[in-house]
Amino acid sequence: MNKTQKGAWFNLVGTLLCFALGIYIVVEVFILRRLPEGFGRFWGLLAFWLVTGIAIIFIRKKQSPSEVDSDERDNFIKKRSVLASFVSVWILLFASSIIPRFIVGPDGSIPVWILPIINLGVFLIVMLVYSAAILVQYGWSSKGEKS
Amino acid sequence: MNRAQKIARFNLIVILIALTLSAIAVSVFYFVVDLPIRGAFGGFGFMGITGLMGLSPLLYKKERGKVSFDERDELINYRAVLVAYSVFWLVFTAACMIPWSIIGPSGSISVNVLPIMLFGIGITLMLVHSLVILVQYGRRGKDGEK
Repeated sequence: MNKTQKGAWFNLVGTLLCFALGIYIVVEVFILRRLPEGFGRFWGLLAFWLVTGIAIIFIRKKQSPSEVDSDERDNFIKKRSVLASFVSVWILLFASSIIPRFIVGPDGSIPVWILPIINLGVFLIVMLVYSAAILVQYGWSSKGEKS
Repeated sequence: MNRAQKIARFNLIVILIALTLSAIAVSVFYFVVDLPIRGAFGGFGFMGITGLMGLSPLLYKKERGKVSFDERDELINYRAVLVAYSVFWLVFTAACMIPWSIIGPSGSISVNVLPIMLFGIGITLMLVHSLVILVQYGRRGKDGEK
């Protein structure tokens, strides 16, 4: 597994963790209307430290001392992934500007705190698309990916 | 001047004309006709001119038997997309955070603002994309840009 793939795995896991944490906070604070107690307050932070720590070791460790950071093929794969994420941004943005209109009607209004949530949501989904596009192009596995 | 430059130049001119006419119309409606600001914003109807950008690939068609897009053009286009993408995140984050900080977290906005926001972001991206393409080619048609 080369550096680009490791970075993509890190992004994917980090993004999914953000989603999990977001869902946990929404359920606990907004639906059950209670603040997390004990370990529940800290698991998100601990999980982030754990993922970051593992990622630092995992990404820094090279397959061989002569391994290059990226070659032309890696750049090409990254380029296509950026374009895929760019296209997904437009689809998401279009959806997020049209869907509220169908929910509240053309004369309705939405709370302004939804805007930063849309921003964060679009960012997380785009990161997910970017990472998934990289991994799909490499074939998800570490087979044959040596520099 | 090659096809990509011509399209970029056309888009840039269309956007600038639309923005200028909109600004003039809003100013006239507000200061001369004395319309309330909400009514004066009707001047932004001139932004509809930007729809002409859709005609640019038809106006500058690919010429048969000629290479219209080589590796260098592809690299220039990719860089322009990257710059536009970076600008997108700045504009999008600003568009989401500024109303939140102005109105306050408990306020609300009309649902019609969202498509306007989308349109504004799209126009900004097209402007940046066209500008970056022209800057990278050198703005002029010299040095073999045929």
